[in-house]
Amino acid sequence: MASTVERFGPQWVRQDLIDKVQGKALFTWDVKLPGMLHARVLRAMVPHALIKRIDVSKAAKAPGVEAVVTADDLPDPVLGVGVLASHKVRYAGDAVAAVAARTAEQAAAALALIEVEYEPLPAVFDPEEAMAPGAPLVGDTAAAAAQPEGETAGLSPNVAVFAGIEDGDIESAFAEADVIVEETYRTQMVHQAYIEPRIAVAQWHPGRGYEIWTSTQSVHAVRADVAIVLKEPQTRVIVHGPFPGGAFGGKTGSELEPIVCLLARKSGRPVRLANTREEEFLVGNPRHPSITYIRSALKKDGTILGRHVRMIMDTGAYPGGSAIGVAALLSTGPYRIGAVKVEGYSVLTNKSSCGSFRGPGGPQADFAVESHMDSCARALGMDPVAFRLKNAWVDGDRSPTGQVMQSVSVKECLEAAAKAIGWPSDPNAAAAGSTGTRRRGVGVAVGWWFTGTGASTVTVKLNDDGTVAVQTTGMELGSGSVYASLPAIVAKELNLHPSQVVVAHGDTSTGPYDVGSWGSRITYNLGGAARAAAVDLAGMLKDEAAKRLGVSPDGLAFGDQSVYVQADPQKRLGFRELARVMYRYSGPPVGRGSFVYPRPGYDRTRVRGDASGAFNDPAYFAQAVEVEVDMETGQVTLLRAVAAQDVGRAINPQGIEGQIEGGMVQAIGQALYEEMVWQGGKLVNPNFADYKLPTATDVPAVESIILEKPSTQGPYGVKGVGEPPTCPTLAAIANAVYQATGVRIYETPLTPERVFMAIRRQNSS
Amino acid sequence: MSIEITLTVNRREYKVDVEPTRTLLQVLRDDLALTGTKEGCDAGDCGACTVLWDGRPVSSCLVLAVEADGGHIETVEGLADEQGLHVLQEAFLEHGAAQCGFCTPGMLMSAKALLDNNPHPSEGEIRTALAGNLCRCTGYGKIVAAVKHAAEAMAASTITALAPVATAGDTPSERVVVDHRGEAPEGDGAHG
Repeated sequence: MASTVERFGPQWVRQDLIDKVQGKALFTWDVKLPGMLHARVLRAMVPHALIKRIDVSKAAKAPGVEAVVTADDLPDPVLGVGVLASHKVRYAGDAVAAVAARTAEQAAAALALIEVEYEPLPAVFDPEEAMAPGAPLVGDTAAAAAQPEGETAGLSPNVAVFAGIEDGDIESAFAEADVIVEETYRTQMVHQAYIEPRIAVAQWHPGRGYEIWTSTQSVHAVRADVAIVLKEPQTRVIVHGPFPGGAFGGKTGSELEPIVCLLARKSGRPVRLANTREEEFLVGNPRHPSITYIRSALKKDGTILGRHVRMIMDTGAYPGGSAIGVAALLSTGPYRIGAVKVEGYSVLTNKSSCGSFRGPGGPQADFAVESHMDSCARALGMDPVAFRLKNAWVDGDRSPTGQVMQSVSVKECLEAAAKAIGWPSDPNAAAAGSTGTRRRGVGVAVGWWFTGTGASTVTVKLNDDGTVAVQTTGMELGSGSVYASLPAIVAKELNLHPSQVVVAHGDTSTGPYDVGSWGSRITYNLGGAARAAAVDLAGMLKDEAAKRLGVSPDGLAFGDQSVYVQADPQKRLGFRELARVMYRYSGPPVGRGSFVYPRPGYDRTRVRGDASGAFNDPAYFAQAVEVEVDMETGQVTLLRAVAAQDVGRAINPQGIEGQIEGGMVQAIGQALYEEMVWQGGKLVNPNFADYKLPTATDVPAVESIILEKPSTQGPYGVKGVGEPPTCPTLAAIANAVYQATGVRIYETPLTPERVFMAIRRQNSS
Repeated sequence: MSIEITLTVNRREYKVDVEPTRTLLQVLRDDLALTGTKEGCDAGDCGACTVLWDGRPVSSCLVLAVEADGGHIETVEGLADEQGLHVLQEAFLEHGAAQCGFCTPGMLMSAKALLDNNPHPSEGEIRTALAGNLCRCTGYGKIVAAVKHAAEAMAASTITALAPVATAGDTPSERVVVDHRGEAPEGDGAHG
């Protein structure tokens, strides 16, 4: 395994970027239809209350107003839970009503005329309080109030999800330990903070149904959601996906779409509904805050006898996403451990509903276990890198759920990152560059992450000008996985230049099915489907050419947009000619492909509740950072950031670097700056002035190291790329702060105040 | 009540009737259909709506259109010309400095303002010039590299170093009169 030795294909400029640098790419923000109305949503300002009465009559008569909707306009209010509140609001932000008017200002003015009478209910904001029996119930259905049984018996019904893993005898492991290290880690609520807020435009056609343009990661997920909530057949919901202006997991399902459809139908006009930035913070699906109790049973020689993790995630008002299930499997790390016990809980509270944010569960679990690994190493007097290398998986090791790990590269990634950062021979010695009150240190952390699964289909069509179109509904979020990797893959199979392959992006009524752009899955799954479709088309072209040239298809090859006889290259048929004859005489030159593969096995007896059983073709990675800590102010300055990541096979190296650099900087934001701050059920910093994203002056250029160890099943050996870079950063930075200061920080973000107070506590104890 | 103002945008002169409450961003996007300039926060925090006003980068969501009366505005649509893309655009493409593309127009305009005034910026000067433009995709590294590369390319070649498109006092090359009912490409009239 080494850094890329052979390029997959030529470097070229993908279509969408040419439009984007000229301001000519279409975003949903730019969609404008004739007669289009502008909508706004009335949101609850109380964290928990029954709705006694809603009166929209004054708003309906306000200037410019064309339609007002409430839960009464939903075909079935139960199906609309979380869309428009029918009888109860669960957090300050729940949608209660919506108005469409001729201008956005008129819509906003009309909101103030809607009368809502609330009966306040006791609210709960802390997940551990919410877990306790007798806590106020956030859910409102009979099922939600049923007393839990099994793993969660005795806890509040607010526990929405349990995810457990048990492997081996955890009690004996701790009984036999030479050293036990026990710690508690906490992470905060952070937002995806894409620059284009969520927005949807909808139009109602009595014959064809709803037509929607939306900023989304999956047109098919929106179609399915809207069809359920509005009780329409899926084929009467047509969804277009213009380029989303960033997503990062925040645009995976529907939120605005059912509301804007109701307004479009009621008003009979196209309607545009965009979140303000404040709404975006309130009603997005941010990263779950977490509390992790982690303890390890260790032998003096560095063997890990056992690890016990109890993790609580605050999921907010609605149970969203599978973060706890993923975190449960991640929470003990990619290490050989004698016995493992994991108990994970996702708990409802009266705050914003958390969900998928790039690597859901990853940063939370990785911060805990990779900070803890450093603490374990220090407790044993071992070098943190050496301690990890001693215990890291190699091919053939088993995960806590019994999955046999293959194509493992933890050690290679860690060694590459440690070398790049200049890992010291004595990690306890004062770091070079430390002077006076400014202390420098380096830190590392590793991780592993699955390559997402799910259905992808692609068609590849020969155009009559001899180019090839790859038809897909896969959403291009910016990485290039759709607009760069798919053309590169199709070009590879047909021996074309990638610029001769155009992406034909379809809507749900015209395009081949794809489940969605998430889970680090596009180049793997859609790429696999594109490869299969290209191979299908290649077979058709060779068959046709063989027939017309009077040769066997076996001796044919592709080159220069033609099929030629290898033994006699002058004998050839151009793609244009093939397209002409095939469209006219022998059937369309259109290849079809899906990507279908077996899922990895695991031991089901070790898995409880919703814990992930196995990770499909996991990627491995390591990050290393150098920090400088000002001991007098607690300010942490990031001097260097290194990310080594095994991508299996680098189809689009520049795009991969972009994913690694951007993902790590997002995680730097969580590590040092960002936090959604709640006070008494109110989000107090829903804007970019008070919610601090990293800017160009806050971060160094990330040094990315691409490693390639082919996956078992991905096309050409690719592994998932997009989410891993967010996972190890928090711990790498906290570990570097420890090396610089001797102070362990147990909670993110590592703000100057938090670091300063921790230094002061340590000095006074 | 609307007020007629004159804006020179990307060297074309427009006369526009605007309500005094409308922002420069709204007029550019809604009245002039220059949708390359983006809106990300409507509060001057994200930089997606950055345009150049008499050569200075401003958040167009914070500028009332009437304030800009008589001003010269440059937007992303004005970067390329008959010769092709601007050196900055070429550099963004070469370095993969755009991903989702939503912050890109504002980022390009801030970078242009920098290079127009400081042809040989240090990395620190580039980062400071871009600090008002949030990007959530790239981590900034490739953007900074692209701007550095563009500066070097402009210094190395007078051919690729394009002159600033327009500054106050330049003679506009074209005159176009626009109002809500006339040639406004997409004027929805709803605010009138």
